[in-house]
Amino acid sequence: MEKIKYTDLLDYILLVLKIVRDRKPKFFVSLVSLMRVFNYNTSFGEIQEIGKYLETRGWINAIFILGDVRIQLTTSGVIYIEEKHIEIKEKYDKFIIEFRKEKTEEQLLVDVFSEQDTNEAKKPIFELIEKALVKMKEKGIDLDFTKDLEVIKVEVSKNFPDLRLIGIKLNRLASIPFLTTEITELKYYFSTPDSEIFS
Amino acid sequence: MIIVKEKYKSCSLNFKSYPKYVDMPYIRVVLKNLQTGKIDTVSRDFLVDTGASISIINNKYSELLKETESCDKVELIFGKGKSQHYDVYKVALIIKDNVFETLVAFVPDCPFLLLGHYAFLERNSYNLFHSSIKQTRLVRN
Repeated sequence: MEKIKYTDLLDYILLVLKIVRDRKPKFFVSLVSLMRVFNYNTSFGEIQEIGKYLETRGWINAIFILGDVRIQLTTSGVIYIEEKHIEIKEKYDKFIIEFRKEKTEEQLLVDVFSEQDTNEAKKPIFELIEKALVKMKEKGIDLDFTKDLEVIKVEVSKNFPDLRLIGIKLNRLASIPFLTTEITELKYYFSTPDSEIFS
Repeated sequence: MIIVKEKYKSCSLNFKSYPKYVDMPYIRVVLKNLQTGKIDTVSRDFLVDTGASISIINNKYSELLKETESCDKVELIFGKGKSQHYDVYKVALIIKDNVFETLVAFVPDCPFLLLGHYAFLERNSYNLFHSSIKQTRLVRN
């Protein structure tokens, strides 16, 4: 099955936010969960990019937290959707039928409303760290690097992790060639729009 | 009145002794090509640079400016003192739902995206760098 087009995806996100806003005006939707609902397989880095783009266009309010982006439609977003509504809705309905045959739109909304809590959002980060630790043990890497990863793990488990400390540790770990995938993905998780702590 | 507020962005400085951090006034921008009406599908961080005489965009925008004629050329001198002429384009900067029409110089190999004085910062009433709360504020009446 063909992957959903990026530009269509942006419209679908806004459309879902409009439906959500009509029912629960103050609700912030988890963009990570929304991507899952849309079966849009992507990196956390791209999810952040989508959040930043829609925010810069003025269509959404976004809160960037560790492991998730919580979004809500703005008044400009409502106007945009209302102006493009018929065009988007037709495409969206087609998409829903094609991609989620087993679920109705109502059921999709239930998925969106089942809010992802903060600890749940951190889950993929812990999984990535564990994966990296296993690889390191297999290769018998320097103990200091293993300890660095454990420090990151402890920091992530805190309510307010020290992102700068995590940044220093990840920059050090980036020198390990066989961990490139895990470290790059971890960097995405810790780079919020307010910070670029990685070299 | 238009007020744009944006938090500074923390950037690393690779000191030889130990990495240090500095907060910089970046603003997230979506660019619109005013000749074709095409709007970029990604947003990018521009440094608000009070030392730049004109705003500068780089190769990241070559696709957006494809088949667009430049409206002028401008001579720019960079840090090393060598001057060169660069194409100038009419664009709109979309920043948090506000649209600012301006002129930008296209410097393909420039490592940064900059917001400068000409036709942008100079048109604002105030450009505030509130360092204690790490926030840039652009005010235009």
